[in-house]
Amino acid sequence: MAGQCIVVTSGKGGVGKTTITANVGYALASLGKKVLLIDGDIGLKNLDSVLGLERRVVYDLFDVITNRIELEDALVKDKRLPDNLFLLAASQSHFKEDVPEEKFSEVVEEAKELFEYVLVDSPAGIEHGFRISSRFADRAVVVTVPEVPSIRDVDRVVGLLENYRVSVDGVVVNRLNQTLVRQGNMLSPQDILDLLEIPLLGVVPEDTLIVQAVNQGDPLIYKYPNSAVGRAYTNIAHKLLDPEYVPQETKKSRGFWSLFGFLRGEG
Amino acid sequence: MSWFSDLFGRHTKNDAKQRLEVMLIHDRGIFDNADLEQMEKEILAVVKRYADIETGAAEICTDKLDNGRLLLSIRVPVRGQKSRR
Repeated sequence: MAGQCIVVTSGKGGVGKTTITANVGYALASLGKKVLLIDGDIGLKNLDSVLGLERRVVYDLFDVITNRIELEDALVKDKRLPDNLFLLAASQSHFKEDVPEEKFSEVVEEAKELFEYVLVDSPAGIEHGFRISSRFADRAVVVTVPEVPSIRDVDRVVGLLENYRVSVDGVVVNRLNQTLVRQGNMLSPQDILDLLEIPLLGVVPEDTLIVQAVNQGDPLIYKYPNSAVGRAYTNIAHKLLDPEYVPQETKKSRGFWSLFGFLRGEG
Repeated sequence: MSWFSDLFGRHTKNDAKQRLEVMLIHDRGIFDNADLEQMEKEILAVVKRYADIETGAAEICTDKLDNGRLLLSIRVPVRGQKSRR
């Protein structure tokens, strides 16, 4: 299998990389793709708990690069999608600098033989952890919230990805608050596109459901696939599979009228 | 008060957009002045091997293109062909 590696990155921390990785990865697996999620945040690890798999992690990335175990045996199978979704956890007892670039590259190459899509959840920052997570990727998804510092960091990261010759699929605008946008107090996705000059991959509305899903240890998309947020993740997955894909979500169905979405069979 | 500020208040997104426009242009300026000076010297040294140029009148500068990317341009007045050895 000649799979592809996609890094999910942002520069700034706390903008939702891990949640996007978990949910978009889950969406890709639901669409029938064989998906591996790699937690690139070595030393901290977050992806396992967002997926609710923390108790099932036995081996991690570090065990693989030190040849303690074969890659296939280190993977955690996601029981919600047992044929399609797997996790390679990060190690908490090591530092990012302990992972040599060439070792990480070997893991990515081997994973691409086994999976159609290998999603790497990059750590925040632009140092070693970002570098190893990004430079062996074929494609990149950058995540931003509609705020000045986050957008500025994403622009910087896009420049670095271009230097690494990683093709940037586009930006996910996370936690968009439509009320603030309508008031003129939050940058709209179009404003962000004008500034960044990269394609738009998707817009995820701000929603307290995210907090609830993470509390419960289930990806939001598993619990609430037909919520606006859940549909946003699915649309991003479609767009990764086909850049020409036109999202189901039209402008009409946002905001007030989305309350009546069920009348039109949307959820 | 909130409807009032909605109607007549300042739309802060315009502040964000204007500030970001300035920041991004600045951030994308990848060469600092010392880099530019050194690069000019090195480029002129190469051109000099092939043509008779007015070194003093050479210019190197950066501009922002419409797509936001940086354009690096070099102007070198040429007096004539370099005399062959």
